[in-house]
Amino acid sequence: MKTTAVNITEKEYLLPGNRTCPGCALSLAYRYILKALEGQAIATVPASCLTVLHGMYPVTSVAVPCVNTPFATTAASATGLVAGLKALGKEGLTVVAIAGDGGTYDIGIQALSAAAERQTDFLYICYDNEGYMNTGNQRSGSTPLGAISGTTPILGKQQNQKDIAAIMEAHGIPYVATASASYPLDLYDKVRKARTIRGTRFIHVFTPCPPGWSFPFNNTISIGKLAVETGWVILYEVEDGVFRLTSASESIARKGNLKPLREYTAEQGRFKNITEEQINELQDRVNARWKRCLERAGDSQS
Amino acid sequence: MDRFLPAYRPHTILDPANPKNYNLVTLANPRVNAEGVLCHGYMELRYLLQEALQNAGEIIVRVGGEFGEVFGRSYANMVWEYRLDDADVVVVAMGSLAMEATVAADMLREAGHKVGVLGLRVFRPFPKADVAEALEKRRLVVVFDKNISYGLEGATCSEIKSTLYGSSTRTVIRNYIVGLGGRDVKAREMADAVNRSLLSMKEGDLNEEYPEWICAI
Repeated sequence: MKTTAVNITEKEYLLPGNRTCPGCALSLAYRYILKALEGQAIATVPASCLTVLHGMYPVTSVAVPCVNTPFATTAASATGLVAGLKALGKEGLTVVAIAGDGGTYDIGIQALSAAAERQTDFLYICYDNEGYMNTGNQRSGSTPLGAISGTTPILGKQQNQKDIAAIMEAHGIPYVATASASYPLDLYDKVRKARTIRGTRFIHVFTPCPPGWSFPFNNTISIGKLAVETGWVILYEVEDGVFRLTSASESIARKGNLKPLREYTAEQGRFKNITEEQINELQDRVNARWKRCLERAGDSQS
Repeated sequence: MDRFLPAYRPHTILDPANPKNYNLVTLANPRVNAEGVLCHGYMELRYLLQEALQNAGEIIVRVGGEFGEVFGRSYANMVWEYRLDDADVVVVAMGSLAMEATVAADMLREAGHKVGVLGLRVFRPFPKADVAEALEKRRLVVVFDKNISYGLEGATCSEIKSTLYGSSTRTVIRNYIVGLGGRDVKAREMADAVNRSLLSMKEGDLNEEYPEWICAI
């Protein structure tokens, strides 16, 4: 049964009064992730906005047991939790490692790659706000070309971002998916599905950041939707090597075209100094990636 | 081993039925928890660590003795001594270096020097009372360090000097840096170093500014 706003669980695991900024997409995404896990999970989290969300001693806003772990060790910590559950003979719990793009693309990638290679039985969720947001918006491996950040304050970042989902897919793990806080039911369904799969599972969640990207707090959802409508984010899943577009990306592929990427970048202050050349480069990358996804989706169907 | 160790008691339990958030950020100041109870800030937690280590000495000695009763090898002390009773020169070191020093002490004894060894088994809490008692009233203390605190001296030497602050006797202290990076340290080198220290002793010259390195420079 497809999840709708009507049949989704009412139980909340993310309690009111957390410390995230107004309009935080992570807060929304995490709410649905925890609903999809139904509390049957042990979380491990490195330094990140999620640490801020979880709260500071002696209070927490999250009703799921959590081990906070050093930046580089999220997947290693998860590996230990999986081994611990196995040693105790506990079944039915999902070990979920949740890190930001800095903790995934940059600092945590070694531990994540190693855990995936070992086929560790856990779910890794990377929420991507395209920078080190709670420490002052420093650029990360996910910050886009041309975006102003705390460490690229004048010209914007001079390099393109990594494609983390492709990197994880190259590990040959059984489930890789992309999702967005603007499409919470799609995210919910993907987490639900990932729970049922054994081995390393990876979900990339796009989480727009109002203060970091310089857009009004009430535009979080629309920015996330524009990201999908322009193809900056493509919603898909790869299950045992079979590629499938999902949600809005699937509809766009079926009927219609991507909007120009400019419509997305124009809404955000971080792109105010982006050059014509850079935006064309970004558009070319989006086009190439979208073409590849359409081909893969076609291949899967035929 | 089961006879000696208490039953395993996990101290971190991750249970979805009773969710807890472990290792979370702790702010400098005390904060109130959900029940309205004021909980420690970062500084109070640091104090508790200090308090725990201040009290650890007693436990280390007691458990070391209990270990000896079960296994026949007692560790009921924070320091160990070798030929110290009549020694006027004491070599101080930690770990395997102190074992090597006992060989050097034997060599020096054969040459007519009254040399003993004080081996440090515990670095924190630092066994101040034991060290002070063992080193006071000696003519010369030679500290060997397999480490260097750049710009000052070996870490053990600093601790020894700190311990002897306020002592009524004016013990001469010499410091040698040896064996860095796993370089072999020979008993002969240590004995030679003690001999050099004895020769270098002058009235009022308590400490040299920097340690001497036993290496090719």
